[in-house]
Amino acid sequence: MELFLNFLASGLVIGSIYGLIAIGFAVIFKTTGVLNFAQGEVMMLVAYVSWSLATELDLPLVLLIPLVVVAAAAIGALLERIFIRPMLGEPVFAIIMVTIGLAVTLRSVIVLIWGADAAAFDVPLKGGLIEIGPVVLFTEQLFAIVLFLVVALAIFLFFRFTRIGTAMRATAQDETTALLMGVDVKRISMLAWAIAAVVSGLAGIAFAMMISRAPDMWFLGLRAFPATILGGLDAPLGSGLGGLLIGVIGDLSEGYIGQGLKEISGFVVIIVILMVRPYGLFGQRELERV
Amino acid sequence: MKRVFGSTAIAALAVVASVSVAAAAEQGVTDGEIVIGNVLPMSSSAALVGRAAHFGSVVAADEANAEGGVNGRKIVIKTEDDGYVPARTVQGLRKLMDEGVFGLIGTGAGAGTAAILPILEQEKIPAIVSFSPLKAAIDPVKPTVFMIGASYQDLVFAQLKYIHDKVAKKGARYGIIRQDDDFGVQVEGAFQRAVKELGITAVEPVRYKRGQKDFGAEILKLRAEKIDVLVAGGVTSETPAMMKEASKYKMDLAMATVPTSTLPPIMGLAAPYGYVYYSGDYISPMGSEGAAHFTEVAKASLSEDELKAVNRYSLTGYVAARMMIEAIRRCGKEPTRACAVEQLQSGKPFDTAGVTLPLTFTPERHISATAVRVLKVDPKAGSVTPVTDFAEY
Repeated sequence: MELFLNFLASGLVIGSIYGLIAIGFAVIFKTTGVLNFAQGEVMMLVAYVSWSLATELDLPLVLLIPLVVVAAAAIGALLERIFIRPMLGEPVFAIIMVTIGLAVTLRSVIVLIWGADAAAFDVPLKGGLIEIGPVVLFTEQLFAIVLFLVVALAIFLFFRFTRIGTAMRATAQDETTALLMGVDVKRISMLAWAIAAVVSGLAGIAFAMMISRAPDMWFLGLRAFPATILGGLDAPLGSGLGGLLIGVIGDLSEGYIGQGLKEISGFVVIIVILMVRPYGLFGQRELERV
Repeated sequence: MKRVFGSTAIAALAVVASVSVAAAAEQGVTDGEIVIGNVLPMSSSAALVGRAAHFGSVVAADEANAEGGVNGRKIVIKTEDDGYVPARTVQGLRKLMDEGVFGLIGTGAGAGTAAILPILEQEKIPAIVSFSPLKAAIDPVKPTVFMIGASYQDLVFAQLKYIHDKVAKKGARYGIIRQDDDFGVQVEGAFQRAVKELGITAVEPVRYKRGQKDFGAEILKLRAEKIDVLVAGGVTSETPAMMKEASKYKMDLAMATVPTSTLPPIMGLAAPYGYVYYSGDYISPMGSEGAAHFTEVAKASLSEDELKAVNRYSLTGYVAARMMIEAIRRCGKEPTRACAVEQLQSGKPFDTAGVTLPLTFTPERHISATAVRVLKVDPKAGSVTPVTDFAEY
């Protein structure tokens, strides 16, 4: 039982990271219909900026997080304004290609500015051990799980109860009608990118604190993408839960079966789920009236 | 009839002309330059070592050029980034070939080297594998491919033998976490050899996919198996990540690692977790007397920022480039690939400026510098201490 609970906790830790990035994917897709293949790179960029803020300014975490939220939102909004806004009205495929180009560019820019070496992301929170019954976690690992829960709740409340959240949902449902109702669709697109950058950026910070900040962090974006498919591309919260599922299933299958199943098991689950629910666990079935 | 004869004569002349041009101009050689190529991971997690190896080869070229070049020609280093992706190693080599390259010294990581071996053989390109030793590169002997350094099998086996003989208690249980690729296969090769030759008690090897950084499940699994010795087969930052998880459960482990674990950034990441671990190497460490000449010429060749990227892999890049340059020099004013290969395998020693003992290759033995020394790494103290002499394994 002790082993099972520790496998579960380990899966939840990495699943929280996948979940946060998956929420980022879903927020942009739900609002704009675009799959942002640079989500992992945006996450990495925010993590690097945060690392610089933390090390250069020696900021405590309570000050660092709000500052990072502002910086990440600015990064997301800026990327949308420069790379995506000029593409509005173009075929979705072209916009997706732009995000792929953006991904490659961001990777190179990061190496150019910060170099290729991995470095520790040291904050005072890091390094302590917490024992919850038989489960042992580093404080930064528990932080990742708590961060996921807080962000998921915030996203839920934002979409459900705020005016802008409602406008974003309206835009997602029918862009033209939303436009006619006075919703500034362009601003909504920018906002979606900003929110996605904040959410996935927080995942980047949590991951860098746990492992290191390194120029291959973008890989997490690829690993989180199946979580979005599993949860539903148009379901931010569902995508987050998809991340948790992928993390837990991966660690349990590696722990009990092994043979490199950690990576494969998540995909097996996705195939099975998509055969039953092609729009994901929490995605909405698109109905067309003929 | 006259017209037919005329056309035939022109065609014959054209063929003769093209043949003589081909014979005169060797790939990568012009009147003023000789191009030596690298395909290395200049980006990705392996950039830490790829960039270092590139700078090592640049230092060797600058050193040769400062002495007037090679028989009047300047040495030019061209490096292509493969991003630690084997398919891109092939692309990088193809690009270098299109642009004209005489020989290759950086051949990508293990899987990348394996991917380009058929091309190197087919195109008869002289190559010195030094970045990531791969047994398949020289066993069986490939006519134009040479290798400096012990294979990962030997590097890890040397540590396991030391741990078995001097550190671990009797009946200790051994585990391994290795990457699921050619590099990992070599690391596991050492582990399986130790099982066979040392009779160690081994648990089921654990494999992980490239790019993975979380090792919670893997370490938990090995903890449940009650291991005492771990082969932490990470490429770079994976090794400290494994140590972190092991420290969480306060596992008392002796650890064997690959040479990247002696690099300062990796030692920095490993330091908080309290493990003193082992590594192995076939060259003098940075900061030692053997690396003194390299350090001196590097200061003259590289910028301050570039010097920061220099590490142990710069030394191997430097040695490989030095050997290639010397082989070309020995060929005189009209160097050819065939001649360079002949010179490399002539059995005459190549001076490596103290980084290793003088190295030699023969037609039957395309590998050199295979003696391994086991190192004890204390990341907290920032020390790398040899615990054995150089020995063949």
